[in-house]
Amino acid sequence: MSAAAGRILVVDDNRVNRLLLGRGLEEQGHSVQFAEHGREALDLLRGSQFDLMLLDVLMPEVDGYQVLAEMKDDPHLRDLPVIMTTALDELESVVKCIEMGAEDYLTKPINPVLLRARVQSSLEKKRLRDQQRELISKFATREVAEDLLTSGFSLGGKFVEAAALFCDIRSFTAIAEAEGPANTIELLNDYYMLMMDAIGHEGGVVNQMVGDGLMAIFGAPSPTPDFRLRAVRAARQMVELVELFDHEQATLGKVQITIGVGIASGQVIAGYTGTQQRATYTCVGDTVNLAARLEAHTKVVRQPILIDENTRAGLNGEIRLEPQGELLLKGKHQPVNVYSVT
Amino acid sequence: MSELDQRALAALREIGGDDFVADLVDTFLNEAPALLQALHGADAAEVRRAAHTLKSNGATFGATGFSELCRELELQAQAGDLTGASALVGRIESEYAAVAAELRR
Repeated sequence: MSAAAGRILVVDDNRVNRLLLGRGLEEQGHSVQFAEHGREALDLLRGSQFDLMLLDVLMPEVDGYQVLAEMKDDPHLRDLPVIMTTALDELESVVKCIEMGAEDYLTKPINPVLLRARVQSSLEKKRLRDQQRELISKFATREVAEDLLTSGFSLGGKFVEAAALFCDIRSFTAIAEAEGPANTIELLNDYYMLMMDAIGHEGGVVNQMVGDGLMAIFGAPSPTPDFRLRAVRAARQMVELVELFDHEQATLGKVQITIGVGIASGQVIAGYTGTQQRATYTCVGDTVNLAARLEAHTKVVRQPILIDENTRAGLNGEIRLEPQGELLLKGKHQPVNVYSVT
Repeated sequence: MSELDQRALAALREIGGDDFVADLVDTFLNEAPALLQALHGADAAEVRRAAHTLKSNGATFGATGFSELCRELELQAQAGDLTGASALVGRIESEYAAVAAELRR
């Protein structure tokens, strides 16, 4: 068996057990730290990095159950695997611990072969979880990754107040046809890098990228009171970055682009959709549809950025706007007031 | 008759060798007197914890009989009933004396 070394915290009020477990684990190549009770263990867990904890149940001050309960409430500790170490006559307490999130158990006195097997198996699971966490953070923003880790991949939805932003490149199909595959992908990558930078800088979350179109959310999953202002600032930044990009493209003799951005604010249904294996943070509802319509409407009124009345109400006069008339939405009787950001 | 299950001691030697087992025995013998003293207390929770630790250490060194007596006391203390516990504590203490003597050898 390949013995990958781990950083292991051994928690036991019994000194004989600590010595025994520590020696057994060190012999197997791991580095070991000790805590004599639950409070000390939690302090150590919050102060340094561990790959695994071996936890006793019956301890003074803070017992094993309380440690598990506190870990469950802490997103940074929730994923740390825990192996309960317990006497043979306490197996009913093990059931409770496993229900509370412990991964496995070992009976005392510890058998070295079982110790090796259980520790290796838990460390392997930890490695897989770390890889998963890394993947999530690669494909989602930090906020989404944190939210996913906190909600533990629950796919449930909720109503949130947010601003939805849609953006796409004008006449992109024609550009793609003229430029060929390699240039098209390079252009898209440059474009996405700039857009995501502008959006991320204002705390927005890009949750859809389809072709040349992208959708971003402001105000969720992490609530921010000024999400409408942030969305509009991001849109302006996006337009400015594209102008700078075009300037550079022109000096290189390459194709230039223009974008349209639509923003609408209000209640959206937000949540994770997909399966446990592949999920995406998404928002749906009238607000989202309106943002998409506003983005499409930028071509009609020849303005780079259009926003709705609800978004305007959140700007406190900080941004210069021009009324662009009304937009009638499918299935709605009341037209929506539209403003362009100048 | 031996108080200790030699298989348990062999398992300990397998983990850390003779010197390690000697250290472990010293640790147990140093800590046991205070734990035995705690068995005389009136606080059931503290009696339970001390009996629990002695039970665990007894099992580690293969002192099966000693460990079993400690378990009885642990269960009694867990139930919150310490009536008649002093006789049991007496048996634990004499059993400990025999275990300790053998471990010192």
